[in-house]
Formats: sequence, structure tokens, C-alpha cells
Amino acid sequence: MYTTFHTMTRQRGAATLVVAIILLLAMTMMTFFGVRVGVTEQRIAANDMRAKQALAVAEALVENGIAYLDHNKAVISKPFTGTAPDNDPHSWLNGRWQSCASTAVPCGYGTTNHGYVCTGLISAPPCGNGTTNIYDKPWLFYMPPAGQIAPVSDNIIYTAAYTESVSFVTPNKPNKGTAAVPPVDPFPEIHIIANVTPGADPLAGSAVIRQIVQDFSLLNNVPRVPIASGGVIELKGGTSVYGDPNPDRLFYTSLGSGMPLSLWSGSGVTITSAAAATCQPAAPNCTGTNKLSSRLSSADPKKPDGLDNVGDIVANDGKFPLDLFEHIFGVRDTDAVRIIKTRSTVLTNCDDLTSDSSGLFWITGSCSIGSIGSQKTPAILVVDGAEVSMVASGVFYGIIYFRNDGVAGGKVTLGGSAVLHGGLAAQFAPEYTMTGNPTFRYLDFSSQRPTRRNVFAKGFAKVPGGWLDQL
Amino acid sequence: MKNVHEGGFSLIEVLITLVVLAVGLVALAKFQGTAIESGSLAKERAVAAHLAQQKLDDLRNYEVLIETDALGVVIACNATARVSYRCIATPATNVGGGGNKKADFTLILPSGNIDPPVSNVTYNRTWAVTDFCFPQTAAGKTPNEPAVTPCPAPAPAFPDFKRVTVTVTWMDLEQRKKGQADAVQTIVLRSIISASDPFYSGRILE
Repeated sequence: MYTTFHTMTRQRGAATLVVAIILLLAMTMMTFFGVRVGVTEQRIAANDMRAKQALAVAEALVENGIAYLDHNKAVISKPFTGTAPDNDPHSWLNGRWQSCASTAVPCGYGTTNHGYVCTGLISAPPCGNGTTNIYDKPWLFYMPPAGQIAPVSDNIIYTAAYTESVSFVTPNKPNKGTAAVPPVDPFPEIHIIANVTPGADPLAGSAVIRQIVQDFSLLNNVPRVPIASGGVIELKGGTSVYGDPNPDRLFYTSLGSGMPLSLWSGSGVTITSAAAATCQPAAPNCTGTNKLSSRLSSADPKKPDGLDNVGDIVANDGKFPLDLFEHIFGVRDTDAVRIIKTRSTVLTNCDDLTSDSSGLFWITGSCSIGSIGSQKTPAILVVDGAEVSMVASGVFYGIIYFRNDGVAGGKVTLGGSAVLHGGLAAQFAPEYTMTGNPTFRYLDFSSQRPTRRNVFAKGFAKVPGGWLDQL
Repeated sequence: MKNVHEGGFSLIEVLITLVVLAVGLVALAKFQGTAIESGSLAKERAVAAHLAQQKLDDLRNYEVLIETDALGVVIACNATARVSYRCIATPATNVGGGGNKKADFTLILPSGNIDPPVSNVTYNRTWAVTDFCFPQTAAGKTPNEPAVTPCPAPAPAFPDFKRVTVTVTWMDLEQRKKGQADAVQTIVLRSIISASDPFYSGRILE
């Protein structure tokens, strides 16, 4: 017993204090552990935040790229040879498009060639179809210079500035031309690549996304005929109308193939003067047997108006579109302003248009044509004013849709030696005034090389599903 | 006499222990409080970023670029109008200010305080829109030029693209408890919406 008491006596000390300090130490360690978890959570939240911001910047760049592409659609693949008329310095074929020669962004992903550099015998997509290389050339890319694309990362609180770039990459398909000889249907598909990397702050996020856009034609179905109207078509004065010289296609009126059409009307056709006629498309002049309309009218007595549906004139066609605007543009006339006018260059008259003018123009007033468009760069005019007229020496290349604000009436006036290459379309019957020897000559804008490659009525739309958060 | 040698806690010892424990526990509690506070701030910031992104996505999903009646007259940006690109705007009111709508024509994601509060925090979300246009001459567009703001006259039917800045503000939970009225937290998310017609995205699939 003594021993016990002795031991107790000897072991007396600050036991409570020691235990308390040990407990305190344990709690401190637990707190530190908890705080570490908290700090990690905060880091995750901050990284998530930076990633969100970088992605938002990249998304903004893609949207910016679409706007830029749409704005520059006329020059993206404009022919460029360096000599007139193909010497527009704005053309992207004037040194802007570059061949993908390295694996750097945007052509590759750093050290990895993801296929845009399609040189050699790479057969894997997108260079090939798995067995052979379908692109014998590298893809092309264009990175707009600094300042062309408005920066978006400035003024975002809690971030340092990012290094932003947006570029366009496109397959340059084989046998589709070079910069000197532009391809037939170039760049139908363009990949917009937004690359966001940390700028001054190395902790800032990074993001690379790709959006594929594809071009579309604003023209849906252009009638293969010089004059198409739902109302009565009148030929007066010494007017000559030359139809499609290459009518080796089935015309959609199902009236047979191989027949060139000069006039297409949902109502009647009247030829009020002996000098006015529809003509052999390939003929240089409109005399004698080249006068198709006079030949037809005298040849078939069964047709009281001298016109029928087997010649080059289709009158009273029951299949004439009820909405000619929709037939041509693929947009109902009631949506014409909403969809087509907003994509057009809107002008009050045609005075500023020249032979260099190419694209889609919406004329809110009357249009007097001096010289507009060329065979390479045709123009599409939608005239909402009450009159379309051509001066005596006027030359026009393209398509005129005489809309007259969607109501009947209006005037079409031609005189002298005016030549309209292309087509004139009107839903209703305007009042035709023709003096002198004006000419309507059909010109194919849908398949001819120089016009097809001209992006004269084009836009770019996002390909559904064409968004990837990678290169 | 054995009682003299019996052990026990001396008053001094207990007092020292109490003081050490008190100081240590107070420090720990304060440290933990700070950690919890900053942890909640990080969470709130993540929620705020999500709310900002939500509005950006909402504004990006428009039905049409511009809405007109059958005669081609542009319909004003009012409550019953369809969700259009043209009407994406800084909301003076929540009527026709952009974004998708409920059946009763009110915005699904209106500007102002978000109701109900998320985890007891009331977030306030607003957005501002700046229009950008590419330069244009009388004869057509000027290629390869950067866009400018504001859009030069004559004003187009709608700008080429719009820059949207979504701002989310909230009062931090912990600081609000302490009654610090000026402790407002802010995050800003900025993006661009281009005039890309959904009509033609559908068309290219045909």
C-alpha cells in the first residue's frame, strides 16, 4: 500500500493540462484537415469558374466568327487573278487563305496532327474516307488580324485578360481549283475555331471549341426562263426574248425535256407587235425562222391566242406557283421582309449599283438600271418600288424579282437596246412598256462556274450538331 | 497523515488548463468560421456563374431574327411577340426584353432578384446589350473591316452581332449576418450572340 501511495505521490503533476493540450492539438489537426478540404473545394470552384469564363469567351469568339464570315461572304472565295475584273484586293484568295502546313493551332492541336494537314497518304478522316486520301491538299485556314474581331474578355471581373484567337479552317477539296483558279463550289463547309489561352494570369482558364458552319443559297429554285410571271406577260416594240440555250434538263413544268422556254406565265401571253418575238436561244439575231413565237402562232391554228404549251412559251400554266417568291427564295412572300430583306443590302433606288455590284439587293423604291452586275458577279434585285426600268443602253446581269410590295400593278419599262441577262420574275402582271429593241437573254446562274463560285446570294448557318469543345 | 499525500487537481492546474483550452478553442473556432465563410463564398460564386450562364444560353435561343406581320411591317418588341434576335435588349422592363417566355408571356428568366432564393441567398441578375455593326457603304458592305458600336446610320433592321454582359450580384451570407450592408459580391459573364438565322440551320439539313 505504501508503494501505491508512494507512486501516486511521485506521479502527481499537470495531468489535466497535458491531456487538454493533447486534445487541443488533435482538434487543431482536425481543423487543419477540414480547412484543407475547404481550400481544395475552393480551388475546384475557382477552376470551374475560370473554365466557365474561358468557355464563355470561346463561345463569344465563335459567334463573332460567324458574324465576320457572314459579313465577308462575298469575298471569301471571290475569284482573284490580280488583273481586272478579278483584282478585288478584299478577296480572301488574295493571300488571306493559307495552307495548313504545321500542326499548330488552328490546323492541329499542338504536336498532334488532327488531320487538317492532309498531305501525304493520310487516309483517316477527315483527310480520307478510311482507305484513300480524298484531300490531296492541306486544308486552308485564315486567322483574321488583331483588331478585326472585337475582344470580349476585357472588363470581366475576376479574370486576367485572355489571349483570344478565332480562325477559319476549310477543306480544300481536290480538283476544286487553286488560289489562281478558284474552285467551282468552294468552301461549302468552314470550321470556326476559337482558341482561348491564359494571358497575363497563368491561372486563367483555357478553352478550344469548334463550330462547323455550312453555306446555303438564298435562291431555292430559279425559273429557267427569261421572264416568269403569274400575270399576263406582254411583249411590245421590238423586244426579243432568248430562252435557255442549254435546255437539256427536265423542266419542272413536266412539259418535257429539251425544250427551251422563253416565257412562263400563269396567265396569258400577248405579243402586241410584229417586231416582238421569242427567239432561238443560240441564234445571234431574231429574224426569220429564228422567231420562235411567230412560227408557233402561225403553225398551230388550234390555239386561238396563237400560243400553246409545247413551244417555247408556256401560258396559262395551271402549275404556275401560287407564291413565286417562295418558289425562288424558299421563303413565303409573307416572310419575305422578315427573312430575305434582312439579309439584303437595302437601298432606296438602284443609282449606287454598278457593274461591280454583286449580291442581294432589296430596292425599296423604283429602280432604274444603267449597268448592274456582270456575268461573273451577278446581282439579285428584289424591287419593292412601283417601277423597274432600264435606260436605253442599260445592261443587267442577274435576277430581278419585281415584288412591288406584294401588290398587283407596277411598271416594267425598257427601251433602246437595253439587255437583261438573266431573268425577270413577277407574281402579278405589271404594265409593260417596251420601245426600241430591248433584249431578254436567259443566263444560267445555278451551274455556270463563274457565277456559282461567286458567293452572290449566300449565307452561313450553323450545322446542327457541329459544335465540339475540341479542335 | 495519509491524507497529506493524497493526490488531486490543484486549483492552479485547473485554472491554467481552462485558460489554455479557452484561448485554443476560441482561436480554432474563429479559424473554422473564416474557413466556412470563404467556403460558402466560393459556392455562392459558382451558383452565380451558373445563373449568368443560364441567362446567356436563354438569350442565345431565339426563334427568329426579326418578326414581321404579313405585310412586312416589323412587330414591336412587346410581351406577346415571338422571341427574336432583334429584341434581345437591355431590359428596361421585363416585357419584350429578350429571352424565352412562359405561356403567360412573362420571361422565364426575368431580370431582377431571383425568386426563390438559392440556399438562402438572394441573387440579382441583370444583363446589358451592346449592338455591333459592320461598316457599310451605300453600294454594299465593306469587307474585311472590324465591327463598330454603335451601329452607324442608317440603322439596319438588326445589328450584325450583339454583345451581352450578364451581371449577377448578391449579398454574401456570412457578411450579411454581420450586417455589412456594402458587402455586395458581383460576377460578370460576357459573350456575343450573332445574327444566325435558325431558319437556315434547318434548311441546310434538307
